[in-house]
Amino acid sequence: MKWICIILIIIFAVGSCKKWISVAPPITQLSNSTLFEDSVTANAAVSGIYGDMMTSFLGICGGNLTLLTGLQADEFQTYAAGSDQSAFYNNAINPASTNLQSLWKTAYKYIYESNAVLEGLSHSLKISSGARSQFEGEVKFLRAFCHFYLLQYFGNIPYVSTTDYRTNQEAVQISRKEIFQKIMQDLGDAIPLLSIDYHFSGGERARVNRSSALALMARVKLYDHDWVDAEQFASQVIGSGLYQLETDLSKVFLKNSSEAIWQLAPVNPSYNTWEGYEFILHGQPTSAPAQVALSNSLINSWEPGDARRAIWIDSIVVGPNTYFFPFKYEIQNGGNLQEYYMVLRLAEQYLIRAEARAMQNNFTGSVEDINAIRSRASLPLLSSISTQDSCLAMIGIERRHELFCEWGHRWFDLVRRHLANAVLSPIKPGWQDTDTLAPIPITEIQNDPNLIQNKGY
Amino acid sequence: MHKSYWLILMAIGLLSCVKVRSQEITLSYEQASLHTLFMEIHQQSGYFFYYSEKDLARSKPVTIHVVKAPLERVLAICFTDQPLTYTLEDKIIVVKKKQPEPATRDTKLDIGGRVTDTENQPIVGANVTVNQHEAIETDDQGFFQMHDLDIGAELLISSAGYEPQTIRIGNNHILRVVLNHAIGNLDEVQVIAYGTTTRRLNTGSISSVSSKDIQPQPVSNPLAALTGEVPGLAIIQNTGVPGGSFSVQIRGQNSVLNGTTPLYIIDGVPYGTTVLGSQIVSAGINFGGNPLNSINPLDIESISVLKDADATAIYGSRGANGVILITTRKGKAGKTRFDVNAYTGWENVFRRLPVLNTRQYLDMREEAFRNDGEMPVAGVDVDLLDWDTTRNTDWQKMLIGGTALASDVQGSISGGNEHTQFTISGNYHRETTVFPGDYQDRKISGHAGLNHSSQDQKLSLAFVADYSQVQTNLPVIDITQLATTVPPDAPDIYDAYGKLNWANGYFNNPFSIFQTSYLAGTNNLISNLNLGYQLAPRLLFRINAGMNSISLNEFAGYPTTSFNPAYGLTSGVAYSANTKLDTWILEPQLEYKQDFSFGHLNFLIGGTLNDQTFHQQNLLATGFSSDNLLENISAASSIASEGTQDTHYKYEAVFGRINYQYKDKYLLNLTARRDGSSRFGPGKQFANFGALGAGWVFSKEAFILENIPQFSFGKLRVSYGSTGNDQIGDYQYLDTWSPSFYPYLQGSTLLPTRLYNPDYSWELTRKLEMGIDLGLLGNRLLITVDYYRNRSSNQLIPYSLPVLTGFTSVQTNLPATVQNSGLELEINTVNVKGKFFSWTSGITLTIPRTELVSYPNLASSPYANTYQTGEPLKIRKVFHFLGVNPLSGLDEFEDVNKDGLISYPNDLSRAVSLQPKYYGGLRNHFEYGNWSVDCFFYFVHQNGANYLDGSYISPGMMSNQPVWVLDRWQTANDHRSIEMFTQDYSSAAYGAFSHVPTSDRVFSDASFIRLKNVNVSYRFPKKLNKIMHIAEGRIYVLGQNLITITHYQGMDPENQNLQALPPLRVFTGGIQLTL
Repeated sequence: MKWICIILIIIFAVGSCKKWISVAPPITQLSNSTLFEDSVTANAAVSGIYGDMMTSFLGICGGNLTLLTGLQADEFQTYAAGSDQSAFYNNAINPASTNLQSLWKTAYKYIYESNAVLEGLSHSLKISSGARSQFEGEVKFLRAFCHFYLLQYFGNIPYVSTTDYRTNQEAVQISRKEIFQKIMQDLGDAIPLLSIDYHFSGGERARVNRSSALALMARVKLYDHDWVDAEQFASQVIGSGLYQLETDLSKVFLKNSSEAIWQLAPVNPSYNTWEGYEFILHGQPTSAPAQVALSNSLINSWEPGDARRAIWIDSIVVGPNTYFFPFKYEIQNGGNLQEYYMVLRLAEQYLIRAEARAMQNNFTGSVEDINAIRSRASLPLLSSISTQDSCLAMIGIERRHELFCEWGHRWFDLVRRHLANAVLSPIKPGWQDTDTLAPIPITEIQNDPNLIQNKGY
Repeated sequence: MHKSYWLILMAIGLLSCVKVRSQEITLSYEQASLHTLFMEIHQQSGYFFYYSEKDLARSKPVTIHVVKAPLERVLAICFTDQPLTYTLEDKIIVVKKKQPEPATRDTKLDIGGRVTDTENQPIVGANVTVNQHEAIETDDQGFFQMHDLDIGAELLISSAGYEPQTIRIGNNHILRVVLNHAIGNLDEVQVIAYGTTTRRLNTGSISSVSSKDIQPQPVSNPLAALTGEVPGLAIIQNTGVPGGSFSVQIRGQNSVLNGTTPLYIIDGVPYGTTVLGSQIVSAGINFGGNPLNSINPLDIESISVLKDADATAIYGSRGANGVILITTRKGKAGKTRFDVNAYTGWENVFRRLPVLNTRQYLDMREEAFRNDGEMPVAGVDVDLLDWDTTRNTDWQKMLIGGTALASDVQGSISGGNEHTQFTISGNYHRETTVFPGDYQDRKISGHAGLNHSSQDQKLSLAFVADYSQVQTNLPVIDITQLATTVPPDAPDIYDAYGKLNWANGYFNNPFSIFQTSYLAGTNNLISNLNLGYQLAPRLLFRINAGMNSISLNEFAGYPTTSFNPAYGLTSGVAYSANTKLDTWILEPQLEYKQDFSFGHLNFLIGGTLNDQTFHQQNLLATGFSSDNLLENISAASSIASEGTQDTHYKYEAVFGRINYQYKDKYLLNLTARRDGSSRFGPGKQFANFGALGAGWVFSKEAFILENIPQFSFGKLRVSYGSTGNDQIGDYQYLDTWSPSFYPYLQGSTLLPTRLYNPDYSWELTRKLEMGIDLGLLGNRLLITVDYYRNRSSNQLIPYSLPVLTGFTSVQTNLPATVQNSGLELEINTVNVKGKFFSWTSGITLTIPRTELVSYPNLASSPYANTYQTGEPLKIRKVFHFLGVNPLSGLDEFEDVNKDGLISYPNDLSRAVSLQPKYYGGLRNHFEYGNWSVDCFFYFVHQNGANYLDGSYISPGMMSNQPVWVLDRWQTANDHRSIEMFTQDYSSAAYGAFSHVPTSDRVFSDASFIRLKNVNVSYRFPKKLNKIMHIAEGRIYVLGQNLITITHYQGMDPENQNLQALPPLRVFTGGIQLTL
């Protein structure tokens, strides 16, 4: 009987030991808890977000935003009739569009990744405070950055600051004012946390530093009509001593160029930037996804002698037709990395400050900044401007030419300055007032019952 | 009083040993118990003692000192002044109480005996009942003993697999009972979970296939021998390439998205259900293979397919998809046997696709250009402008028309005595392919089995080990698709210099595929030890310890010579994958058996510990300086990881079963399991499963016996219970980060693997079963009908989320329900049974039905266009093809939303079911004298994908087509099945054609009847055996896939895939000898 009892005990012990059943995480994955106890793996988690941004053209940070906003505005001409892309050109975006979904989805994916790092760091004890500040600053910046673009493109959106899907699946949209507040809060937090220079990334300007946050803050303040702060933040970047306007226009988009504040380093070993790969033409623009060439309205808008027209635009002649394409990135493919994908650069900061100064009626200061850009473009310097309207008009032209086909600047400028109707309705037959905001993707509306579709869709 | 007599047969010795032992006994004991003395006497003399422990308890101790004394004297000393006496009969000493009244001795009798089969082998565990009560079982040597029986009482001796026998007690104390093998398979042993039963007494739904049905099939994978044999078991051979993959499902698909493979258990060891082959290395040729390919079918004794809850609930969270138990051969006591079996044969593709010849092909192309109003373009339409249009190559003959050779040699030695039996066998199996070139699949395997029981029968041991090594050498890609599509006027394969002819880069030479090589080596070891110890007369402790280790090394090489030189590639490419799967299992068990006058009780309790690790590493190597170095990875200038998989799975359980049989008439079986799996998160790891099975052998009821005597057997079965499915992958509940594909700034990167949800658990399948087993005409007609209804809920499905959560979905249990129901029929008949001629038949039939009963929010899920509630899971949602418009000559489809466009997904109006309506098999077995003939037909009634499925190349383009496309539209008012030919992707005709692959046009009848197996064999007459000095001999010829009757438009209705080699036709001849 004694033996029977022992055997029964063994059998039950065999079948109900909770400890035995637990397995360690696989060697191919790292558990959340161990990852953030080591600055090397935590660094890999932060790097992962940058790498993710560059894995594909179709994401919001790969080049698709440039393409789609360029189509929506007056930068690109489409050559893909009937396609999803042409709907963007016609400002008749289908809420079921895969491109639209791609922008939304990737932005929120990077936000999730940022939140995951932030939550991981908050439980971590063993990472040095220096590394921890930098990581925290970076992911707060990235979270603000993605929300900024979502806000500009889609209008009111949910600001997601947790990884908990049970909360997020019922997320609600908040007002533009509230989103701006949260973006500024994140950037405000990030500025003191971030490293001043780029020593933490081996001198490469491929991760954000303090100036990146200041530069984005300057832009956000400008968009929020806070002219004093916009000027002040832009001045901090310009005066930081880290950046100079690159005098040779063909070198502006090279990796770690002197005017680069933040660039994304390409990750696919066969290519440099996705925009270089997609936009450079060797024939008719027929290969998806970018079946586009620069629009006539952009080509015809340049002042004679503008060096940017000569250097940043190239063309190809096919039969009777000439197709123009952006040539800021000159390398179409090849694994020898020479160009990084520019996100924030000094020229924009001059233009932000010019606009902020103009809005504060400091026309002299404004012209100074405009001339910094014009002189680099080999254009005659402006002498003086006496009215705000003409000053702003001049800034508009410089922004269009300096920042064309870069991260949707043209489109967002038209929208924020309420010029879209005036500029686009003559050239886009189906133009409607509500086209300044893209629709929320349809599947998103279906899966989150709290989301409200934008007007006009 | 007699009931409490529990007799022990002491000292069960080797009968053969008796002869050599002396009858002179030497003993020296002071005050020894009779028990001790009897043991000693048995040891020295070999005589057996029968006695009751109770009787012996009253005996006095004995002092004895004898040297080389005769037995009679020793016994006389032992029995002096004892209350006992003895009788000596046939080497058995029966000890009993001294009976004071001689009158009772006349009518009461003590009986001992031995039950054997017709070959004089003992029958273990045979039931001996007196006057339908007081049953006992024979022991390991077939002995039994009963006390104080009335003369004239009836003894009923029965055992599984034998015809029962009734004996009237006369004056004999010792009975020799010889049982004949039973007709029909009602009493054949059926292997079940942790034990055995018979069809007569089981309560669950179990189908067994024995070696006699597997052995005569020239297959290298045992699964191939099961097709159509078992109702409810659907097996599809996906490719005719040796070592290729199979799809196996028991009673339909229970899980919407997760694993649906049955649990395989080989000799107690769970065997890999996962596909081991690497996706990037072997997917193109054998679809990853099948783990069971490493098992030698000739080493298999039986395969049991467990289907309902009663049979599978004891496997808990692993049992939802059914269980396949494979038992390998064991040695048998008796003369040492040498068996040799060898066969050799031929295999070929027997169903080719009827394609256009050059004339028809060129006409098609030219007609297409006329339809499009275009002219062929130089440098593009080379088949019309550049190639020699008088050539006519039958590419199917050239590429897949070869004859493969199959050969197999098996040798085995088995034998042993009552205590120890062994078997050792070795096998060599080799198959070449139908492709031109030196390709083959070679398997060397060995099997060893050892059984032993101790002298006192308390300890028993069973050990098996199986080892196999498979070497495969194949091209990397299945050539079948090219064989049916290369234009018939394509140029020569080789140029004037004997090199591959690329015709200046314009001819994608199909022989370039034969430059590539897929090499795979599998090593597989399965080993299991089962130890039993009899703790008490009715209580057995068992421990089962097993392990399985499979390693697979794969290589796929593409030398530069396999690339079209027009692409200018200068280095070959090599993929390699190393896969390893290690499993161990430990299962202690305690079994209690008791026979009461009111029935037979069997109680089992056990535990399981199971551990499995899987590792796979994929590498891509490029930059080789020479094609000869492809297999040497260190010669590559660049090596990249193509993914690593590393998983660890742990499983533990407690299980129990109570089986109660009342008068072999009322049967009750209760099973339960509590198990824990590492595949689930904390708090969700453990769950309980259980089932209740009941059977009523109504043919034993008096009112049936009297009124319907035609029923020789009749049983109603019903069972209900729950099982789980944990085939959901490992670690899904963990909050982890994985390395992302690319580094950033040369540094490694990590990304969150998934949305973290630790709160999910297994899919639950509730199984209901009702069955009836009928035996008519003295069991010459056996019928089994089963109805089952399995409802699987708690489906583990990616639940769609707004992507602003960071991911599109999260793994969670949804209350989606899948119902599998069906009717299964199995009929076995003995049509003729004579001395010279016998004929038996077997029929199986399955009518399955899978239905997606509910799926919350299906419309907004990623599977909105994949599934439809109320329909089977195996469906395709497609456009509805209306036919070819006789005026325009274009394909037309139903425009559901009337927007003038055929658009995805709005116009997907049809859900086409690809589930078979019914399937089954018909076997006939004839024996005439020394001849036997066995033939097996397999049939399926189903809809399937025809030759148009998946092809976006319209008839008229530069690709050959089946002759069926000739039924095309040519001029106005033609009523045809195929639209006008076109060769232009931008034509209106192509625009219409491009909807065909997603329409119901690609589905048509794919039913077939196939003569799957024919086996003719001749047993050598005894005279010949004597001349040859052998015990038995047999020669045979076998055929597989001989005839197929079908209307299917495609290559083969079984695998329905133009990209994979169809199952082959096989002819073999062989010889089997027993020395």
